[in-house]
Amino acid sequence: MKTIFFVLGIVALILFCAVPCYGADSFESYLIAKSNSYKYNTIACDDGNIAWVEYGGDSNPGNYSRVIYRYNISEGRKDVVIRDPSWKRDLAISGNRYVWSDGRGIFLYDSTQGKLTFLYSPGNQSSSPCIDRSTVLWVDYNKGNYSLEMYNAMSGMHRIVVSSATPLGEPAVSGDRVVFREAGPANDLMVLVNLTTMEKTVLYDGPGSRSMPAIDGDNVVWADGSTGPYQVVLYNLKSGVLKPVSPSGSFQMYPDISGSLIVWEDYRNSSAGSFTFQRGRGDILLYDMAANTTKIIAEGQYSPEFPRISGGFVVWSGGNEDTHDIFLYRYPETRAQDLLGLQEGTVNSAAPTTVPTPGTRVRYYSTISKGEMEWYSLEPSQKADRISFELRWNDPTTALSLTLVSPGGSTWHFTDADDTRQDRAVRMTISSGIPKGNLEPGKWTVAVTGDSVNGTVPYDLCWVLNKKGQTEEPTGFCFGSPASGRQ
Amino acid sequence: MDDIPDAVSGTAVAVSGTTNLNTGTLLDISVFLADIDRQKQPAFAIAGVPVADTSGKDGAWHAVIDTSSLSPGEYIVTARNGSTEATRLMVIYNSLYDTGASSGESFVTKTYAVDPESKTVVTGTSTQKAGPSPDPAVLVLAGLAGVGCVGVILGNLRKK
Repeated sequence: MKTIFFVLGIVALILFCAVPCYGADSFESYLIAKSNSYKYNTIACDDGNIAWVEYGGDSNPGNYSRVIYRYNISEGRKDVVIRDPSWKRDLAISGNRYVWSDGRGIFLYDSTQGKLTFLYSPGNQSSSPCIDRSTVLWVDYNKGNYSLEMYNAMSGMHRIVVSSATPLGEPAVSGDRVVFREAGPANDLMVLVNLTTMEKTVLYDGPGSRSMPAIDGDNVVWADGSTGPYQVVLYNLKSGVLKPVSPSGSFQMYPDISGSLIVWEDYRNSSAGSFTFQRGRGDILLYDMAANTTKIIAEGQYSPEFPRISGGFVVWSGGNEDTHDIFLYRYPETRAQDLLGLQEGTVNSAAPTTVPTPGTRVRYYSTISKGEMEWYSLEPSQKADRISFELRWNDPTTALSLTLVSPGGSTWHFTDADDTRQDRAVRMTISSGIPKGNLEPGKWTVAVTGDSVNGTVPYDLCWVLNKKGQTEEPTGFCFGSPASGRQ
Repeated sequence: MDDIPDAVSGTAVAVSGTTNLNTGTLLDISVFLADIDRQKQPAFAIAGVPVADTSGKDGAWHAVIDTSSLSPGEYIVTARNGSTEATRLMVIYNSLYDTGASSGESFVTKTYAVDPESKTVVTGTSTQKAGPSPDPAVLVLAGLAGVGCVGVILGNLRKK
């Protein structure tokens, strides 16, 4: 058996050396959603929660039912939000409210109340919903007429904000202000409406097209095509100043803003980005207005797409596989930010702990360098109700992290700091959230990541399975890449 | 290929078209989910749909798509013979969210309860129809008018 492990280890090491690591230059990002099912290209992010639409919960390529999932950053955990039979596109989230379109109407789901509301006007086509707290806006179309519609989730009030004979699109809302694109006679307008006063202001009316607006407080960003390929521009509502964020002459797409941070998809390092936009292979860039710095947070080798930002957290879809895994990046300047996620679901719970695992026998010893990720997998017996991990290293300048993916796709990620004790160790325990219940049966996947490493450092990993205080040997533990490949 | 109307999942959807391909040519009809990147497998397929003779005009073809295995969403329907291909979009909805065929009605809201464990819809719908809500100022004026009316009525009663 040892020989098998050794051979598997050698094969995996060869694979790791041959395949460039996705996170090599963006080691502060980590995987939060990985499965064999396809994910729709809509990611929403708000207040410590990340939501996305995913096709059926199994590997059956013909299962096209759509489920909305949520990853709570503070809990480090993935849950199902809703698995109703609606067609889901254009997802947006605010707190515990989720909105999406099925092309004919808008769905509003309050996960706290367990209440789904379908909003529509018969015969109309509804699209592009956005939400901030209880305010929902979207675009309706019927027989050549466009309208920007608003619904208040608290009062049930519905009103038409703007009507137009020319196309309206892509509303984005922050507080009582909404920005959207309106087609003018010769070019697109970027328009702001104050929902309290209903005052309408044209923010920009220049040549060419503009698209993908986002707003947070007094700042609005959008992709502007007045000078050629779309460039991300920033408009300050107080000063009225419009300026490019990081002009490059190559396409810049899908900007989003939160506070003083702006993210977007940037094609300056892609051969396909200068004259004609060709999706994929762009980098994800972050501009910090306060520090006046721009940095790449995800390189384009595996086509990161559709970045969204909330607080200091950035998420994007990684196109390195057809399934589009989802990655989370913590901007270092805001790591101390306290994001209170709301709890939901009862399948598994996880918490970092300062207490060492009941048994500390080393299960595996290896070395790791900066940006590397090493995968392990194990299949606990169905009798276990808890599983504890302990990742340890000696070098005080090194930072490693531990990611765990359950058979059902729940994902947790912990660093040394998460257990409040800086002792060059990451300890975590996963338990069944059901009283007297057992852990999910199947293969659990563990990843050790070299977040900050000088050269190469050794580490060891141990784990213990428990049932009512009794420890148990795992079965089927092996070292190597998971079935769906490494990141 | 002719336009394909929106349909409810589980119903049969007729697709048809005309072509200048020879009578008797066999077409392959395939249905692909529209919004999955690099999707390679069709969600539904019919092989060998013949082009029929229509006496001098372009040949016609006709097929029926069984949507019972298709989840709600947007699909690309292709009719193909060799390198010749025609496509149309087809949209499938679930009957739970039927909006009716009529247009011109006012804004509608329907609510559904979702099971906290399974996260699926568990109750029927209650329908509520409402036009655009009036401006708050109009509500205030209406309220004042109502109070005035009551005052006038009470005044008249006292006079009697």
